[in-house]
Amino acid sequence: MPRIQALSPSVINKIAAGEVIERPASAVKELLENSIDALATHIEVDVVAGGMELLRIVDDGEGIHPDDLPLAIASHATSKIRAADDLFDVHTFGFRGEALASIAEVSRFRIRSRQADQSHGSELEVVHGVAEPQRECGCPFGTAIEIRNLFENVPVRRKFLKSASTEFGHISEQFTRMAIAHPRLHMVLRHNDRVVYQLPPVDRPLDRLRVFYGDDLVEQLIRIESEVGGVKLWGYVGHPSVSKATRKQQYLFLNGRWIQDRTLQHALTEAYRGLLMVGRQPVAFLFFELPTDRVDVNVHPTKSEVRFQDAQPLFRQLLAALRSKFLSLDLQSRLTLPTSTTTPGLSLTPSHVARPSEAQRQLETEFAAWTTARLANWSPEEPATLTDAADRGLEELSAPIVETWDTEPTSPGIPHATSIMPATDVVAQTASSTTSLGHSARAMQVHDCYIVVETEEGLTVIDQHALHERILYEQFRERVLSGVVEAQRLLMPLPIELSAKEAGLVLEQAEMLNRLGIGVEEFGKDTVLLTKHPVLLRQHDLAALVRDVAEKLDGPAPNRRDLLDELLHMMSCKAAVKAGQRLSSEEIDALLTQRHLVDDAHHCPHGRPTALKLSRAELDRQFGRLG
Amino acid sequence: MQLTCSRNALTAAFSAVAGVVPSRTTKEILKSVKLIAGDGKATLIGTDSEISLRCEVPDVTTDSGGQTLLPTNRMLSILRELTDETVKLDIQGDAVWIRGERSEFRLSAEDPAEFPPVASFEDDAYFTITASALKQLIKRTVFATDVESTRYALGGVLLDLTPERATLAATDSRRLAVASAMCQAVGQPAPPSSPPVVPAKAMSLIERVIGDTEDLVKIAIHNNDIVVQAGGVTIASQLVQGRFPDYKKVIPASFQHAVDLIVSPFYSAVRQAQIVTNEESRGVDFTFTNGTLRLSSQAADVGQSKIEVPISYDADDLTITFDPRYIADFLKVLDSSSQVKLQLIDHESAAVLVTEDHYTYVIMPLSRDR
Repeated sequence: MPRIQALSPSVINKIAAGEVIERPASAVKELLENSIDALATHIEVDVVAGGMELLRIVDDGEGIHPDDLPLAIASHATSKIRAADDLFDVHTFGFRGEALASIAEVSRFRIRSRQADQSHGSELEVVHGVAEPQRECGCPFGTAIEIRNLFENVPVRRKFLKSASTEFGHISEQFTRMAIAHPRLHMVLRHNDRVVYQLPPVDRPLDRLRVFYGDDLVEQLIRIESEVGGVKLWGYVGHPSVSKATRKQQYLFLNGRWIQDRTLQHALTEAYRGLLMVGRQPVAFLFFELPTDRVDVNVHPTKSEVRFQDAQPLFRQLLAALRSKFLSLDLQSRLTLPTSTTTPGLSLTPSHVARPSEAQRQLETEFAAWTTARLANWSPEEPATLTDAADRGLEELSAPIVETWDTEPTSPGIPHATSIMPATDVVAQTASSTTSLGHSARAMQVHDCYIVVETEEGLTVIDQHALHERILYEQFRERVLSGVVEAQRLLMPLPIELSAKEAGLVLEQAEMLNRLGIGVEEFGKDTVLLTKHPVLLRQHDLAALVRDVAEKLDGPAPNRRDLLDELLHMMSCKAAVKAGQRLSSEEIDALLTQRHLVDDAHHCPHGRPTALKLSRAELDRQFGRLG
Repeated sequence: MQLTCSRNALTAAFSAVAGVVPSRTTKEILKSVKLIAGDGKATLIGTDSEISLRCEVPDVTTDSGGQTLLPTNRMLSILRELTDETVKLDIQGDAVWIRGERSEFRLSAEDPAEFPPVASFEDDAYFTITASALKQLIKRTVFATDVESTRYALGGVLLDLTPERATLAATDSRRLAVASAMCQAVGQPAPPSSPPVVPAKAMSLIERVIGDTEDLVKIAIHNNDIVVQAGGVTIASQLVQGRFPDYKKVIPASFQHAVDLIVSPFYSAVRQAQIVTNEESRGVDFTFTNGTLRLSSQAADVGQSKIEVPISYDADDLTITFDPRYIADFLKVLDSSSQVKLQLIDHESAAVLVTEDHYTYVIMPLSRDR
């Protein structure tokens, strides 16, 4: 058994490098943060072969004093904090004093720096952690750092690097995060001497987003703003029609720092509940500004995860800001027509690629009108009222839910997503939509699947299943909340075989299922006995229903409200009219009248749009009636 | 081969057989009706491969034996359009000539040998029951089946035959209908290991084909099928596999309250209450108070209703919620002047409706969390 011994600083740095510097992109992140901490206004990043051959980052920041240069590459040496207490009040990106030391340990490293009051610059070269003598050199103000052959002396790590293009992709992502968070920086990114991004300083992150994601996305962004108790939240979220399959386009910035946070991501998902299709993720670029003493960034070596003193208020603030915004907007998907004038046929696909300029302009006008209105109304009191409104809504709605559904005392009241606004606002919104789509509007069913309605603005195409499902969902939910679900008891209870785990879960949730009108009892081993079922689902395969429920319960431990919601979705989907079912005109009328009873009828519970609009103006334009 | 017969008799027989011919099937041949003729007799046969029907055509004359397939829909159209007293069918190889006084049709026919074999009534041991009794038993039970259930046995009617009594039972697991009547056994039929379950479709077909007469219907039960003969008609059906629930067990042995009701006013009240229900809000509250039964229903966006029926009831008030469709189903098959007895335990337990002629209907109430 070998004896215990202290490790040499070189080994320690290599170990640290493994944590902080995972790949070239990590080095880029550290160096960009250093440049920003040094108050640079212009940063250029040069990358060769995905950063595996060369990374060069040149800034025009404050620079490093020649005497401090050797310290810069020593570990746990930093200018950013002095005492432990500073850790809880960090105003800079870095503070650990690890990055340069770690990088220098595993590469051929050269740093050149010149402060504004120096006549010349100093240069220091480090090869695999061994520093060469410091030299004087000519260089502009600021700091330039070159990293060659990263991981040259750590072959294992080098072996794990991917292709140059993949590694550059990661670098580009880091660069993007920085560029969005700091629009006033002039930033340049070059790969193999080719300019990838040349970003002159701009005032708004929106202009940066336009560069990175194009006009199509930017036009679909909705601006969010809110301030609650010293926490400022602002940014842009995507219209529900521009959802993504992953969370990759959800950028959260905390005091300019890109972070990942499950609570906030969850708030986003909650806010979009019912507006997006299942499995789709919203697009969001959100900036949080909160006092540095209310968040601990010293949690993760790369600082991409932070710990909030109290995440719940943030969660509520984000959710409230988004939901109140959504409720004030008309989120109906617009019918889009092909831009080609040679084929004036209607294309009823909600594609946003081929958006005609008319619609675009309309959207822009709306957007502009909205922003101006927003700015006009903006006053210091507003954040307070917004908070109050949101909180009131929360208290009103979460209280009964917590009592009814949340028996675990540990689980705090999750805000009720769909009804976050006070009741009066919902009524107002419903009233306004009633006028736009009156009951008397002419309507017809096409393809036994869609209902086409004439409206004042043009026409609306409604997916009958999606709309009915949505209506049933709301009614069902209301019934469940008020506890009057009609259930048919079974004369002969139905034994249903499940897996042992599912049977356990179903019985565990028997109380909640009972509220949904599903009665289950134990029937030995893996079998449960269905004793009653919701009247609404009379025509359905009850065994399949219980199995589906069991499957839902077996999911990744959802909270009770999510679960209830999912079950409601499932049951309303099963009970709703299907596509391909011919409806009588009375049935169509009934569907359309009920449409207004639902507070956000725009999307079915699965998040598919329930209706598409085609405006009169658009029709006129297509038929050449304009001008 | 030539066959001459009354057009009316042939049309009647042909229509009866057409009832079993499937309109949509992957087996093209099943869309035809098979005709077998010879020795002064003619038989029409149709099948959907689960249920089959043979029907003898009365008063025919034939010159020799032969068989052919007749396309069901065309043949029916021809028979309905002709105005002649008699029609002649002439089978020549793969074609059939149908001749009236002034019209003739030639239909090409498929090979009758390809038609699947269809059982006929050949048993010596069987049960007999009068046609009118069987017809009523079927009417009183078949509506309670659930043909869409994954418990296949619920898609059929249980046929429990003993040498003295025929009992039919059907349930969709929410309600149960049990009706029985006298029957006889001929030649000591062996009791089946478990009572057969006959598909609802076959039962309906039997009910439709047999007349409301005192003629005897013969029923023979085999392991996998049942054959029923009524006059010149023979219906064979495969049995539904699967275990039928033990229906006797779910009929409550005792009750707390019994209320006598006359069908007509009760049915009328139920129909009225049903007006103010919808898919989402189904239940009708049946409140029994001193001397009065009050039916009240309420549905969001529709409205509410309140209907009173005088009854003899003097116990504590009791409210029980039913799906009125289930009550209506039962009342619909009864004579409007007959009397039923409603037996109740409490608002959660099964309620029983019985008539004096051995008809029992058990129905489970709705539960509404209050």
